Amino acid sequence: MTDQTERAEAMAEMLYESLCNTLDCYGWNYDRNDEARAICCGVQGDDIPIELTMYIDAQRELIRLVSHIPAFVPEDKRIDLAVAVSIANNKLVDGCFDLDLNTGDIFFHMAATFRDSVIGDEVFAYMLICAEQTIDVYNDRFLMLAKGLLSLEQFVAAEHEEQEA
Amino acid sequence: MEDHTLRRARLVFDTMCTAVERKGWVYRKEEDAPIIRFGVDGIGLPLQIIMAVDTERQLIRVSVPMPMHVPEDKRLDFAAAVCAANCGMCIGGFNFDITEGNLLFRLASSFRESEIGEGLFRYLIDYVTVVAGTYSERFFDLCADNITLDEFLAMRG
Repeated sequence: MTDQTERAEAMAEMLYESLCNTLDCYGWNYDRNDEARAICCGVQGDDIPIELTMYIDAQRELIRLVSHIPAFVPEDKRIDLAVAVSIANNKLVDGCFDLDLNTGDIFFHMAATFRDSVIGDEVFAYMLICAEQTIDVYNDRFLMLAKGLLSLEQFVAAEHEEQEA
Repeated sequence: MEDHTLRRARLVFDTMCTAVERKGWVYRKEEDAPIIRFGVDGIGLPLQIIMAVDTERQLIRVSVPMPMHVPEDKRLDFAAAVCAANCGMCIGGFNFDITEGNLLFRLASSFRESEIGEGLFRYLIDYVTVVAGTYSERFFDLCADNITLDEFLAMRG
């Protein structure tokens, strides 16, 4: 193991403990997977429950957050959803929605790097809150598009209305 | 905004400038905002990297505009191509403005209550150079009809 790898592993371990302590301080319920240095927590959004997984990636020196959006996209709707995801991503400052064109799954991901840095606990809270708020805006819209309850034109019109408001 | 937040943001910006200087890149600083721009010419097409400290959100932001304009008849293909490119991305992602036909790579990393070292900026610069550089050629080829969407999707990863 190189010095750099050892440092990254030690930092990842420390960050994982800080992440768990931060969640404890906020009183959030979560499941921990110490081997993967990952936590999983559920949040009740305005309409659809949101599941967030956060983990410390020692190899890439990243704090990573991933959320699976519970909206399976059938093949005939994937281009519409690709357009909708592009429109949503274009409005975000941090984080990104991903549509897997092969499987029809939608994810949200965001990350922060800890290379050569000492990361404050507030970064964890920021990531979880920012992700939850961003997902909460779009998960129901994506679900309705995927189910055919909302057309792409209606999605685009709603986005334009919001931008102008 | 609290003093210590402003001080931290200034320190992060100074560290960013030093990291870029040590990489040997000549940058242009915006006069009234903590933003720098510099060109890189490595993998793929020559690109401009824009690095900024977003004081209000306490974010380090990096964006790399792709040097192409996507014509209207290719925008659905690009929406699909961008989704494929973003899938599995570790940090950041491509943003496609489907109305204007503009494409850029962007990422952000929070510095709330954090001590940021120069190495973090070197990491981000190396990362965006490889990711944006690799995809710049693929997007250019898709835009120029040198490859089809299916060929683009097959090249993923």
